[in-house]
Amino acid sequence: IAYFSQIILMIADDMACNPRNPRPAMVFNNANEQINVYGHDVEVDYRGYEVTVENFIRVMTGRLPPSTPRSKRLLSDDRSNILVYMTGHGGDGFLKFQDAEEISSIELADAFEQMWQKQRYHEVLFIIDTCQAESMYQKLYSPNILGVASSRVGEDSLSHHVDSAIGVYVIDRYTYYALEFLEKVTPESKKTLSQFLKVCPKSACVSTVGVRTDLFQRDPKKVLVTDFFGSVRNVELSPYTVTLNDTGDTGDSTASDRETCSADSCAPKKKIQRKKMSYVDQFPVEQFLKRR
Amino acid sequence: MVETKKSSPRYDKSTQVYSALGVAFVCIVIGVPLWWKTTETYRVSLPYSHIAELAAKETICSVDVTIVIFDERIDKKDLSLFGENLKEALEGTSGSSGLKIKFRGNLRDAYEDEQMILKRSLNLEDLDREIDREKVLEEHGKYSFYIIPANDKLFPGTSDIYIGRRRNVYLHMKSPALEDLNRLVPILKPIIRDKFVNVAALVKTFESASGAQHLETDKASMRAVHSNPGYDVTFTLLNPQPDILNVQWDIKRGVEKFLQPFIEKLMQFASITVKSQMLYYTRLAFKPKHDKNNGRYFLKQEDLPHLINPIEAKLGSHVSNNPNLNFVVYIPTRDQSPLHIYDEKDFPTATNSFLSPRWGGVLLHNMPSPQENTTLPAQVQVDMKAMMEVFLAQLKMLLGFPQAAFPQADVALPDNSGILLWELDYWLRYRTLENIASSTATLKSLAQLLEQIGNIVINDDIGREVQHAVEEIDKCHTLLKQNKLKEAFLSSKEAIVASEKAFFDPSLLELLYFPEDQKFAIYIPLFLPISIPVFMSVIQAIKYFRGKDKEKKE
Repeated sequence: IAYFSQIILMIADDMACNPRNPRPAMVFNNANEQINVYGHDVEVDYRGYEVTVENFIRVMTGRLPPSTPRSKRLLSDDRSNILVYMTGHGGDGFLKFQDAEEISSIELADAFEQMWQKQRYHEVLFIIDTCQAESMYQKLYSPNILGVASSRVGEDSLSHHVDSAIGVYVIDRYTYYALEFLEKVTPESKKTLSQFLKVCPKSACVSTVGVRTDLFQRDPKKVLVTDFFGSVRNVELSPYTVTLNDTGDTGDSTASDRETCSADSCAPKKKIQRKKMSYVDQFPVEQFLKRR
Repeated sequence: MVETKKSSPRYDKSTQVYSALGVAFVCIVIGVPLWWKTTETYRVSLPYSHIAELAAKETICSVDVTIVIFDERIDKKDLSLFGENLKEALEGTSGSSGLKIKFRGNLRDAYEDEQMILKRSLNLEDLDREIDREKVLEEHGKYSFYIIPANDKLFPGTSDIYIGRRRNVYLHMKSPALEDLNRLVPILKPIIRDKFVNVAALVKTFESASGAQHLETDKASMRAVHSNPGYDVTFTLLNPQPDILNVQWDIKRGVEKFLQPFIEKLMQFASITVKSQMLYYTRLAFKPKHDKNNGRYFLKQEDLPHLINPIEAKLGSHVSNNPNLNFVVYIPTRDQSPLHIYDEKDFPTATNSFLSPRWGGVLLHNMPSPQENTTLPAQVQVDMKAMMEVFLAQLKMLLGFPQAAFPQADVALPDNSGILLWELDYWLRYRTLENIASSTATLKSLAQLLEQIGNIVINDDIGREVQHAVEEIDKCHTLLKQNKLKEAFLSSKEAIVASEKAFFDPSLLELLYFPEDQKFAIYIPLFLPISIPVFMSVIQAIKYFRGKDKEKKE
């Protein structure tokens, strides 16, 4: 049961406003420019140099400096379902961050374990789309995690198609088909996770999609996709009221502070004798210059 | 001269040997310990064994129950039998797995003053008030049950139980016979065990805060926000058509008059910060159905979950780290007025509101449409009292106050703070146990983490916080055993703040995962170029000494 609606987005964010982007500030999911995935309500929390392995682990484990704003924290508790989606270049046991560093599968497993120890999640859906993606979830050992990877160890994940206007491949195969599936899911949808896990068969993806369900306690056939996507909240009708006493309130609102006041009605300020401000006497440079 | 010439290669060789040995000596005796000491990580010693002890320790929570008998005619033997029965009834399964709730009973006759108060009271509220005035000390966690002999004036016949405003319960006993006394036992037991001290809920909270998983979903435990030293409350007014209705709300007065007493009552236990805002042109995204019979628009419970998410982003994220509870008042648009929430039986709910666990609540406030020829926008006022009545009830539920119903009893109405004192006691006990369990579990997993990973630096302030947390937990255990609820709560609050601070300290990040082979990769380029020549020279030196020995033998 998802109680939480919070998205933390960590991307290098150098695409949308890249000088080579012919459609500035827009990133589309395919060459036909169907969906602008960089729309008005996208909020990038960690961009550019802030996307580091350290920051990622800090966000997951909650060990952020006290000055970190709320929007950059993962405020989850023991009833939150968390979706972690990672993509990029990767290999057997690692994922590259920004061409400079890597996160290893063991660090990831330790981070999840620390989250579990501190009851920071109820269930996790971990989706990873890189080459040899399966290796990243093989070392996980904390309960209630369902892992989906776009390729097995030894396989490469391939991109889907190129946008010749930009000159790069715009989307990976697994992500493309997963996005296609999810675009059709509405908040009331009854689609199950096992249907989501079957997205992108080998014919479409060329790589084999790997799934790890042994740590997950519920049966994926009985879990709704909206448990992880779409944040459908649990509500209860509240029939109770507390009887309150309203005595002695006549005239309260008029006697309370007025919201605004003008120069006459506000408390008159005492006239303070203010010294006229002026510059301090400057260094008499001219006198010295005259000498010469 | 010939001698010295002959001995000079020997002499060179011996100097070589001794200097090689000297270098090797410096390397091993001074260099290795120096390197070891300087590459050590700074780790303050933590009380690991004490933490393990605390995790295994049983928490004992005492509850004091006093029974006051007004009727002097009751036989002493009957009284003691009644006491035994009650004690037996209250014991039983009083907690499991680390939590034990002990009921301490005290049976006494009423004092002179109390008898006089009973004689002159006109009704139960009077009696309650006067008896409370006698009590001098604030007694958190101590409940009193006054058993009143047959008195038709006070108990006019509707019910024989009256739950007072503070911690007193007045029971009507028709006759001083033993059967009547014993009939009170099954009445007292649920009131004490399940309502005042909700043993089942306390055990569940304690277990889940200690880290046990619960597969089955329990509404009550999932509803309340986690324990925190402070909470933020935000009131929002959503007006989607400000051009038609100029909705005014005197939220300042509403909060000062109706919410402030609640906040003040909790001030020493938790700080509550209140904010308010108005949002214009924000609609709730849904299509209500139209009830043709009475021209109402309605939403059923299945439609409600999707209402909150679209507006949540607009409610604004706030600065503090406290959990935020949002209370939203929505004025339906003119084409969807009046808007009601229907329950399963298709009746409009009394409060027209719903709450979302750990988030807040929404109230649909219907306003009359403006008349034909009034100038738009028409001025309307939000009814603060009605709004606050609903929101205060929701706030209580979201903070963890009990929703106990007493089907057979009359319950005194609370004052404007909305809290009855026994509810406050329940909340204090509940939060104290949650804090204790949670901070013990935090410390235990922190200790485990630090023991497992040898290269995390442990700073002084982490050591201080852990020490402080451990002391406060110890103190809290003692206070809970003595039923000093208020002090126990305050020390448990200290404990949880300190333990969270220690656990989430940013310096505890094990950033570099160093597998052993990577360590070799770092040290080999540094030490190998030095150690190979030194090592070879030492071998030469050993050969030289062996050679010398052989010569000596020869």
